[in-house]
This record gives sequence, C-alpha cells and structure tokens, in this order.
Amino acid sequence: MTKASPDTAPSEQDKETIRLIESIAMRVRETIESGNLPSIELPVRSLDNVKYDEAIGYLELGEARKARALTVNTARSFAQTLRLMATSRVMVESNDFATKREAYYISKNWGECRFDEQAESDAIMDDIEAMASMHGLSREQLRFYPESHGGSVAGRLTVIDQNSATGRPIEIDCANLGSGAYSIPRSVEHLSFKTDARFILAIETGGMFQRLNNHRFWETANCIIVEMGGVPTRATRRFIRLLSDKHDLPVYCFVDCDP
Amino acid sequence: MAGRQREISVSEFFLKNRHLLGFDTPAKALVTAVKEAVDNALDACEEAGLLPEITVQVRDRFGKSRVVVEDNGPGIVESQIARIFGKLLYGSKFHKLSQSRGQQGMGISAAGMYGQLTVGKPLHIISRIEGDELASELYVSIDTANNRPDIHKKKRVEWDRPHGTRVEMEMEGHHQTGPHSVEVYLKQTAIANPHVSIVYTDPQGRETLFARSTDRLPPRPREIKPHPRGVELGRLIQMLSGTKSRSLLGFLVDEFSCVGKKTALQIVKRAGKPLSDRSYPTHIAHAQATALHHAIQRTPIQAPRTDCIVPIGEARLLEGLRKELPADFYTATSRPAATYRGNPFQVEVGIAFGRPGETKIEVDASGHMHKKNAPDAGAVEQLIARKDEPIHLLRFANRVPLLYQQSSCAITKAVIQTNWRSYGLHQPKGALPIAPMAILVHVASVWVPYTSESKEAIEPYPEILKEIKLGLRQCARQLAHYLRHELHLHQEYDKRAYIEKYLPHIGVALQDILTLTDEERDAAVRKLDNILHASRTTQRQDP
Repeated sequence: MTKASPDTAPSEQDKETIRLIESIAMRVRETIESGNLPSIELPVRSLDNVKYDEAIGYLELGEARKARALTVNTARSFAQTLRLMATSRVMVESNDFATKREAYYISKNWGECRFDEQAESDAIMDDIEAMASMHGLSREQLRFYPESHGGSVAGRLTVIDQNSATGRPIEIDCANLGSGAYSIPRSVEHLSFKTDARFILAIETGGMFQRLNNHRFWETANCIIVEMGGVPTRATRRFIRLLSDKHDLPVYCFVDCDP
Repeated sequence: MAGRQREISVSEFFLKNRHLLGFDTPAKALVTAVKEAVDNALDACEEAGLLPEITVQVRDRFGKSRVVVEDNGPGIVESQIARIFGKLLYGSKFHKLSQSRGQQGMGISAAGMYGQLTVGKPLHIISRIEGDELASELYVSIDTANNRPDIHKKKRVEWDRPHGTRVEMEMEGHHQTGPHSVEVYLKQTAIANPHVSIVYTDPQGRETLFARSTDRLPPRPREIKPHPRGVELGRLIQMLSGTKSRSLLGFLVDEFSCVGKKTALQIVKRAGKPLSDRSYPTHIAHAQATALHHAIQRTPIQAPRTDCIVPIGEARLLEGLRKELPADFYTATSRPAATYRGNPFQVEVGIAFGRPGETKIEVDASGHMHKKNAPDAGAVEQLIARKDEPIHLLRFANRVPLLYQQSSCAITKAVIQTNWRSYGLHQPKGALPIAPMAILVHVASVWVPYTSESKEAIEPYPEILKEIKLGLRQCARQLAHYLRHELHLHQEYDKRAYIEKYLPHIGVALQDILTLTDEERDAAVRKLDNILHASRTTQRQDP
C-alpha cells in the first residue's frame, strides 16, 4: 500500500461509502444488543440472480439475497466480511487503496480469520462489492483496486487528470505520445475528456493496436483506438463507457472471430 | 488283578481331582475357598431372613494363607457342624429345586480338604444358634478314605456374637490382585447383592467396606418340584421307585409341578396299556417307564412356573452397579423367566459405560458447553475396561460372581455372538467388543447348569444363550441411544468451538468500523457468545 496525501477532503462518494459500511456494522451491533444472532444480507452473485435492464442497457443483480450468520458454515466468512469492510473503511478514511492481492496479504494479520487463498478473499470482496453496487458504489470506491493495469489509449483525445498532490489538472494529449500510448489508470471516475473523434475502436490484440498506432490510423479515421489486451480489465471497460457516454461516441470492436 | 479292585470314596476322588472343584493353583484355591465360605454364609443368612453382615479376613504368610469368614447367620446345630464341614456331598440344597448359591454340598468341605492336604490343618469352626448360652467350637477334618468327618476337638466357648458362624481355614494359597482376586470377587458379590455388607481385611491389613445400599432382603425363592419335561428316563425310574404315592396318578400329580389330574390322566392314557392311573408306581417295569417317559414328552403340559425365581431386579441391579462401578451411563434389564430342560431360569443384564477420567461434555443452564476432565479414580481396582480394551464381563449365577473359565461360559458366548457394531461399538470378529464398559449378566435358576463342579462357567444351552442375547440387545439399545447423544454433544461442542474462534474478529471489525472502546467491543463479544450458546439447541433427551 502506498500512502497518499491525507489532506484531500473526503469526497461525497467517500462519505457515502463510510455511511454504508457503518450502517451495516450498526445493524450487526444492534442485533447483538437486542439479544439476537446477527446476520448480513448479501446479493446472490449467481447467473440466476441477474437480469438485463433494457432501459439502462446492462445486466443488473436481482432480488435474491443470501444471509451470512453465525453457523458452522458461515461463521468464518461472516467474520471475514466484517473485517474486510473494516479494512475498506480505514482505507477510505486515509484516502488509501489496496489491490485484491494486497487485501489478501493484509488478512494474514487476522489470525484465525485469515484467508488461505486469494480466491477466498476475492469471493468475499465480490460479495461486498455486489452489496455496495446495490447502493451505487463501485469496488474502486471501496478502495479495492484490480491488480492488472488497464489498457492503452491513443488517438484524438485529451484526457484531463489531476495532480494528486496539488489537485491541479493535467492535460494529456493522446495524439502526441509517439509510438507509445496512454495507459488507463485503475480508477477512471475522476477523469474528464476533450475530443473531436467520430468513434472509438476497441481492439482485442496488442499487435493490431500497435500496427494501427504506428500507421497513425486514428489520424486518418478521426477516431480513438483502445487496446484491450484480451479480455479488457474493469478500468478499460469503464473508461470506454465513460468516454462513450460523455461524448456520445459509438464504440466498435475489432476482435478475433472466435466467439 | 480282580483282587485289587476296590471302592473309591468320593473324597478320595476329589482329593486327586481337586481342579474339578476349583483348587488347581494356590491363587485360585484362595479365591475359591473364600467364595465357598461367603456363598454359604449368604445362603444361611437369607434363608433365616437376616440381613447378611460378613467379615472376610485373608492373611498370607510364606505361601500359606489363612482365611477367616464370619457371618451373622442363624448358626448351625452342633450335631450337624461336623458333617457339613467334614463330608463331601452333604448339604441341604442338592435335593430341592430352589434358587440358592450353593447346590452340591461340597464347596466348603472341599476347601477344608484342600487345606488339610496342603497344610495339614483341620477346619476351625465356631457357631452359635440364637438363644444358646455358649457357642460350639470344633476342629474338623475329613476322613477321605470313608468320606466321613473327623472331629479333633469339640468344646463350648464364649463368643461375642449372639448368633452366626465363623470358619477359619489354613491352606497353601497365594494372594494376588487383579481380575481374579478376592477383592474383585467380593466387589462383584456386593454388586449383585446390594443388601449385603462385607468387611474385607486383606493380607496388608487394609480394611475395605462394601456397604449395603438397601435394607430389604430379596424375597425368599420358593422351592418347586421338577417339571416333567425336564426329567430324564433314569431319574423318572428312580422317582417311581422312591415315591410314597400309591397310584401312578397320585405320583404324577404329587411329584411334579404343573401336572394336575387332567394332565396326569392324559399322560397315562398316552402311555397306553398296561399302565393305568391306578398302577402302583414302584411296580412299573422298565419298558413301561420308557413308555411313560415318551408320553410325558408328547403330552402338552403347562410351562414350568417361574415365580420360584428371584431376580435381583432392574432397580437393585442399577443400585449395585452405581455403588461399586463409577461410570457415566448405566442401564439394566430383567428378562421374563424362561425354561431350559424343564428348569425355569431368568436372565438379567446390566451395562456400565464410561470411565471417570475420560473427557465428558456438560451443558450448563445458560446453554454453554464445558469439557469436563474428572480425575481418575486411581489405584482402585477397575471393573470397567479401558477405552481400547475388550469390555469387562461380570458374570453371575444365582448372585454368585463367576471369575474363571470366562471363554467357555454361555454368557461370554452370548456377548460375542451379539453384533455390537450395530449399537455403535467396535467389535473384532469373534471377540468381545472394545469399549470402556462393563457388562453384567446374571443367570438365576433353580438349577444352574454349570460346566463343572467348581461352578465357574454356565453351560451354553440354546435357551439360555437366547435369553442372554435378548437381554444384551435390550441394554445395547439403551446404550446406543446414549452413545448417539454423546456423539451429538461432542460434535456440537466442536462446532461451537469452531464458531467461537471467529467471535473476537467480529468484535475487532465492529470496533474498527464503529470506533468502539475496548470495553464496548468486549461487551459485544461476550453478549454474542451468550446469544450463540443460547440459540444452539443441544437436543438433550433422557435416554
């Protein structure tokens, strides 16, 4: 974990995250105080509990919930869920973050409660994320970041980022990076854009992206090209959606023909 | 050659074959001697309606043992003392069919004979009948050539007991501890006879009291006549010639149980001519007796009466077990009486499971579970097996413990033939089950079929085996119920222990999120712990 500057005031979203985590912990504590066995309700993350909302245009979690309580089967994950949420809260407060792998390592300090495999911590994290998503919060807002970095971007686009130390905006011209490309950060929610491109071309393979970039295809086609590198990371997907939504750009995908 | 043929006295026979009477090794001889004296004392007390108070003293010096057994019985008439103690096969119990410890009338005189043979000292007897001014003191040995008592000294002496008998004998003996010891014999006697009080002084001078747990004497067993079905041809001929009845009808009705006039007439009719109901019993010839015997076998006759058997009783049996065997679980059952070869008998089974000192789980009022480690009883002679040992068998016949020849006994066979695996115990093929357990089996009968004169094992008649097995199964069902419950408790304990591990972490997480103080955190964890235990059921059923 890298320490970020603590002087930045918590944003509205951060306050929302803290409120959510606190409300769940409060409920657990009140249940205990009232003399009942506490439990946490989490959305079921199976395919059965997913529905496609045509109005918004993407898949959403359904109504089904699973309870995590103090039974032999769930006591461990109950405690782990709470501890992971506590970790999240501390990170939000100190404007810090942890990758999924780091969260797994942090748990090694939890004694009996520790995760034995990263798959375990990932599953618990997904549960918390699913719950947070019901309240409109993303995993990045819980301060759990993916390990792999995002894809690359080149073309007729200017990304406006922030200097995390001073808060001053930084403009990055993606047409001016030579044979390299702009690397999408893990969290993209704070970015804004300036562009005159006509469309976005998402390219599956790194080789094709490089070739088109070397030929400066985006100049002639007046577009933005994005490298996905196989299955795109969350950040890449969100970057593309953000860009497409904000500037009303169509997205074309250049993929291998092996569905 | 013909001139060398001569009569053998029964005393001489048993002098040479003393192993038949249980006097083969010095160690065994000592236990057998104590057993014979105690059995006689108990029989005498019970017959007179007295609560038995028995003292047993064993001293052991240079391979010579001195045994003193004293009781508070009715005492013995002076003229009888010599014959009772100095003549083999002299007794009150052989000719009557009634449930008693002694049977043949040879135990105590055999002990005297053994002492006489090995140490050369006669039996020393003091006996006093209630109301007599003085007690009689006699020194008796056996004239083995003639099977006759030989009185050495006889006088009237002062004695502090108002009534009772004291037998002192000296013999080559070896005092040992373990499963075949005097102490174990007395302890088992105390289990099967909760109305008996025994004070035992061992060779080291240590006194052990086996206190009585009840003041009620068991009811007197009733004497019965033989059942016709159990009578063999030879015995029938003997009875015919010995009867006082003047007609066959009268003979059948008077000499047998369960035979009324109607049944007797049916038997006579079935036996056919020339027998009639008025035939003179002593004049019935061999061929006719055979016909009569056949007729008896074929005529439907009421089953033998079983009220002549006095079982220990389930409640008393449990009392006896609780008193002498500390264990976690007890169960006992009395089977209804049954018959073998026309002899009624009754089987009782008791089980004591679990040794103190092994972990046990308890549930307190608030629903919390605790693992309890009771201290081991230590040096006390344990009648319950260890966890990894074959179970211990406590065999009884007419309330007398059987210590030897376990493997040839009907009780052992019945236990081995029972499938203990289906009741949740380990059992190697063809062997006793393995468990921290003692099984008590009591066979009461007017005539217990021992495998030998020393009365160490019961002959496995199919009827007896069957009854024992039924009793064992009845107890085993109770045991299985208890074991299932115990297993459930252990599993529940493990589950709770597993969940409990995570309670502190929930506390820490709540503290981190809600910024609680340490006290608040600990209070929440304590509360959560209480809720957890109260919410989980233990399903405690009384087995």
